[in-house]
Amino acid sequence: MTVISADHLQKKYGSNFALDDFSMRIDAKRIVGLIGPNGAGKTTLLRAIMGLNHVEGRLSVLGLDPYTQRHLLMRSASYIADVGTLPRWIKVCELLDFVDGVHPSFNKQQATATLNTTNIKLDARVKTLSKGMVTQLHLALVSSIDAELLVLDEPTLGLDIIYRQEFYDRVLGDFHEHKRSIIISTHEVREIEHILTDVIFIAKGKNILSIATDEIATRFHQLSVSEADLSRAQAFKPISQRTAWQGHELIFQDADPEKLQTLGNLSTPNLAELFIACMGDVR
Amino acid sequence: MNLMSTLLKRELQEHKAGFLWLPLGTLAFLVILTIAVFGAGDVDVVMHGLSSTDNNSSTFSLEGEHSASSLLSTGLTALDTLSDEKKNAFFGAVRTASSLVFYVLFMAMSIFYLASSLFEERADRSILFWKSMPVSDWQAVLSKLLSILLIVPAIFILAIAIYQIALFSIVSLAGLFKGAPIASLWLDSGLMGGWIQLIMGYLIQGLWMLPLYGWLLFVSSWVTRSPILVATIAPFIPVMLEASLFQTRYLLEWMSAHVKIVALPSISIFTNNTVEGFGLQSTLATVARGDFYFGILVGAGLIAGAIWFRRLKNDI
Repeated sequence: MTVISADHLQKKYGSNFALDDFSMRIDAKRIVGLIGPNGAGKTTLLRAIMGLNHVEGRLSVLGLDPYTQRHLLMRSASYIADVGTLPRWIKVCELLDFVDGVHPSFNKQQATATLNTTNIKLDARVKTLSKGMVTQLHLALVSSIDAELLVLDEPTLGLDIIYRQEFYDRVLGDFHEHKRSIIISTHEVREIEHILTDVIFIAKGKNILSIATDEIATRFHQLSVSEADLSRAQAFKPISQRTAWQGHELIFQDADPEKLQTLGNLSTPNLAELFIACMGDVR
Repeated sequence: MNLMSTLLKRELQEHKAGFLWLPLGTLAFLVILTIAVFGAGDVDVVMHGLSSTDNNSSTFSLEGEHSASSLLSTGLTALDTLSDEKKNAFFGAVRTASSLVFYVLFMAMSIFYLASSLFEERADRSILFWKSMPVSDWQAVLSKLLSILLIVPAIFILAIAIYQIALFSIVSLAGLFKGAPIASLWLDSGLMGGWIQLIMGYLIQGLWMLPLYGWLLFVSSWVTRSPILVATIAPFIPVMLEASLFQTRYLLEWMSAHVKIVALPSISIFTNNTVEGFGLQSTLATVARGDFYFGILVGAGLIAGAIWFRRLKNDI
């Protein structure tokens, strides 16, 4: 089942394209990493998916038009924008009551139970909590909503490493429990690499690459070659090449690994390496 | 229904200071002041203009300087001898005087509340959280309007009623102490009728002011800074245009008419400090004006604009 289908999305801010003929498809029960540099269009895309932005093109999320049917969509989709969007004046218990009152599929008991595993007091005001605790609170809320889609836009921005690690552990735990689709945007590729089933690279508003993480090993290869073998390796048309400590490192897309193997040391590029390789074209 | 009540509760929680502490604080302050004036006994009170409007029979005139205690017994004794018509006028004045300060504070608070309501949520980015809930933009905007049309007036009216009961009780106790007659105070005060008029009055006055409420919500939905300033200054542009192009001032007159107190008993400072509109009739008369409905239409249009902008804009 397709959760999100986007065709030829276009969004301009002044003379800059935030989204430029962007298309993608996201299936149910996947954890998708939306990866791109700052200003690549990640937030514009995620806000369009959540019905917060109007974009040109065709966009369907859980079968709904997000911009005109946002309130219906939010019954089955949850969203965390970067840290600090929870109202600062509200008390934690008031927040729980509010979500309980407006959201048909919120499980207040579960949220309270999750919060009890943290240091967050129910009578504390959001403004007295640390950034990390606010994010914990927000995640506890959205994890207790029985939603089919969870959208996280740079959710760990400004958090220290311990909170970031814990955040993604909880997201992963939540995924295994509920099997919902999750989209996470970040420019910190390494942090989320291990939890993703799919990645989408975005740059200058364009979809640079959409791929399942388990396909990366069969489609992309990283070759370390000595100076002597460099020109022979280049004949296979690498998508990127950089000088490394010993010789050169080249990344190939859809090249024959058997042939590459004869030239040097073959490995699978990690997400960060692949991302930088793919970004080469755009820049 | 559950959704709207949750949204209204949320408004109350966020704006507890204006919605709850302002009327209750005013109530507490006025009760203490009343006790100080009538309880202390020998405070000098200077009365101006509180005399019978019928100059032929000077049965009731409190013009001049009195001590509060003497004023109280003279007043209560004099009250008993008044005609029904004059009693009504007197109690109408008392009811108005004891409720007007609440209304003025309510209006001032409402203006600031509405002008910042759709602005603040964009300024602190909490709109991204509110919009991640299954609540549509019209429901969110409506909850702010209903707070000011229904919920907050109910709290203020309750505070007024409590103050009026407290005022009459304090005067009664002080009167009993002086041996003055107090029966008329309770039998002829028309408190109940006054409360009904307040309920109708706040409601009708709110609808009469819908163009203002709508305008404040509208400005607050798109402005990038100082919503109050923009809301105050912007209307003068078309007013000045009208004045220079057509040498008329219809817009200005229409706007000022819709910020005037028309459905509640008030003291007009333009017509010699007379107290106006004691009766329910004068409150209901507003509903008979064609302009009442035209104003609602204009207000509704502005609110629709506010809803449209809230859907469109997520930040400032």
